[in-house]
Amino acid sequence: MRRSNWKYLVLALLIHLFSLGIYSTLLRINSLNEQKQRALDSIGDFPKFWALGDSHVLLGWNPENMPSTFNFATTSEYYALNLQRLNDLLQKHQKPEALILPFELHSFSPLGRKLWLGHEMDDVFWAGIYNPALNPEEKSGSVFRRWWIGARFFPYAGQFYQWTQLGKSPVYPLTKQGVALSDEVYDGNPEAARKRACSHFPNGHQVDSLQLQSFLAILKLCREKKIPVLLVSFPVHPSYRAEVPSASFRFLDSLETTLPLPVLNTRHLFDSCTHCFMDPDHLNRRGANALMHKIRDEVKAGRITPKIPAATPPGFE
Amino acid sequence: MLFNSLEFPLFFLLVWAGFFLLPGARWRQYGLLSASLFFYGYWKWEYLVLLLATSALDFVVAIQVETCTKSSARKAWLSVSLVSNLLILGYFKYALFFARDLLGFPDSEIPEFLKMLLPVGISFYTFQAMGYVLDVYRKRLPATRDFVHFLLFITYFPQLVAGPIERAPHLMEQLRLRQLPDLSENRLLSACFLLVLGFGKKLILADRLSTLVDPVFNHPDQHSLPIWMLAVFLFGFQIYCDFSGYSDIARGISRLFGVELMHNFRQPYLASGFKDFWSRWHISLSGWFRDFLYIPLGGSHTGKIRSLFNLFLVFCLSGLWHGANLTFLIWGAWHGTGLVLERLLIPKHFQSRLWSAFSLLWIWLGWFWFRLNSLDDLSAIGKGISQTPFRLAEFKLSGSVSELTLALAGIAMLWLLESKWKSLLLNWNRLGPDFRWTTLILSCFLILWFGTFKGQAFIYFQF
Repeated sequence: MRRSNWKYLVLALLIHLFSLGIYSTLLRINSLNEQKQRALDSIGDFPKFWALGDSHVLLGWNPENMPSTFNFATTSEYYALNLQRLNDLLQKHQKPEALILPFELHSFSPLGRKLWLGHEMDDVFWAGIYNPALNPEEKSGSVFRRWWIGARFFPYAGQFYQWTQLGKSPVYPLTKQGVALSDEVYDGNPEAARKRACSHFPNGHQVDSLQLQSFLAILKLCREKKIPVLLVSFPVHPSYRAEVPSASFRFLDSLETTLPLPVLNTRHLFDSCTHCFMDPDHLNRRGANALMHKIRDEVKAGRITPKIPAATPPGFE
Repeated sequence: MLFNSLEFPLFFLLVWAGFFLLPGARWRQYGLLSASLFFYGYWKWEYLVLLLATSALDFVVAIQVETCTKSSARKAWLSVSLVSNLLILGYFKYALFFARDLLGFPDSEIPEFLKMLLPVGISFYTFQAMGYVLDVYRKRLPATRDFVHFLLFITYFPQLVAGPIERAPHLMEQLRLRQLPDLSENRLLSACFLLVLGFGKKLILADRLSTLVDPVFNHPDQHSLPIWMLAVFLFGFQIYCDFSGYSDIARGISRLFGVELMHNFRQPYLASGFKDFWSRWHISLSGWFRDFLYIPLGGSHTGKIRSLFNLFLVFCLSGLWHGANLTFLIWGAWHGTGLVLERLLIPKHFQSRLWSAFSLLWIWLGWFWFRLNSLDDLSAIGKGISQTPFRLAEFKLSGSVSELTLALAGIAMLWLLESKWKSLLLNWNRLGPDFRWTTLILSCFLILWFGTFKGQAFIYFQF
């Protein structure tokens, strides 16, 4: 290479570093993980009750009045990423007194994998804590290594829309305990429910083995560390349930019967409270508050208690 | 391996660097052939066997065609090549279509061996191999006795899976690789320009448009008429950016090896009519059909009715070449009808803006058939159109408003570039190298920021 050509490489490197810097510091400022970190930093002691999961938990699990509880959930964070987050938290902090996890109709949908590998998650955060040894498919799939290289070295790739959010308030403003409470009210539009269900079940009922194996790995990790777990099926609007493939209900019910854990099933809880939803499958502020009252009552009455997972369900070894 | 995958840059850099280290033409041929076989086998190595077997057959047949002196023997050998190539293509590409769509067998009754995965790029390399044998038969070039050279011609990786369908007289001589490629700054710049242009078309426009168009065609019962019109309009740009983007990348890569591939696109949407469109769109395929099918059928030198029928037939077959689906056949017939109408109504060398606009509209509507998943969707589309009230919010389709805005801005910019293409290229070549390199580097980062990186395959890979 001619000496004069080095200047072009230097220029490319400088633009790359500039892009990396701009994205990592400025454009990610309102990402959920950054917001959660700021909220955690503002709390004195690290919380003892952790809620992990996706947007159902993020919007529906309001730990207000529950001391030392934090909602770690972020949008589209399925079990495979929950596992990574749990592992990271356990490495950095003492184990929690209890762990709350979602157990949803869409929890095993291939959508989670698609969003993760499609770089639609917060790549900087996930590449930073990613532990390939925990990924049940790491050995057989180079796709995760490809994802990691892209996420680690070019996290700004395809992120132009972050510029449009610059200076705006966060899409999901969080409370100090990490929950995002929405005041929107879903009008019951069946078309919206159909579209939502279509995004979760694009090809009907499908179980992504990555999510199933990760779910079982979370239970195994909790068993080894003796962490009590509570699984929660969050309320969804009847219009959404009507669009979910019946095989998904059957699958979840059969898995539930084999689980060595209690499942708090509130899926039908707000069938008559349609103003408790912000959209077909997410609670709004009113719904999240009402759900927490219900859970508190259940726990007080001793009807539901987080338990340490006993063993891997038979048939899922 | 996809051009837009993370592995490809690494593969390419290794192959390119290695290419310059190899001593002599023969080793360069071996090197490039090995790289091409790896490139193809990386997807599914089993199909390499098929590729090698068909290539070996065409290699032997071409020699026989040349050595035979009797016309009948030459014809017989030619038939061996054509029939075997078409049988293989027919088996892998059309057997399932024939059994399911034409004979109406339910899926459960179709044997598993008919449901095999379609080997990627089979239509492209089969046509390239048949073109070679036909060219030997017509004595346009001598049959090569060098199998490595021939195999490299068939498997040359920049154009193996989605063309251009190169003709032997143009490509084979270049693939002797007698000299190392010219690495002058201007040549490097022109190759990188093609790469940036191709990746920009693919990653910023085609893949973004696909996220807007796919949900409409995949849920045919849920959309109003204006949304269908928007989706078809966007698909016209998606397929152009996807396919011409691939061709630009292929030409750019190939230029870095000192091999010039043919142009496959020349601003097709600026065409003045159907005939002009087909001289600008997928030039290598339309040229193949013209030379090896339309002209042998008599071309335009037969009677008027016969020549119109031939034209229509060629376009129906060209439609079927794209895929084993009745929708492609209709798309081919749609274009055939347009060309027949043009022949009947428009005098030669007559140019009319009205006709240009009409033909462009016709071509655009034709994309509906091309993208339609199945003819069964038609009733769902009709139901959706009659029952779904149009709402302005639907215009963002399934993407965000910013995605659609960016896609439309990109389309406007592309249209502007294409309409000023010649002067733009001229001015670009006059600019200093510093300015050109800086522009290309900045463009790379624009692609990185504005592109979509979900590893979507090129549309024409499926053909």
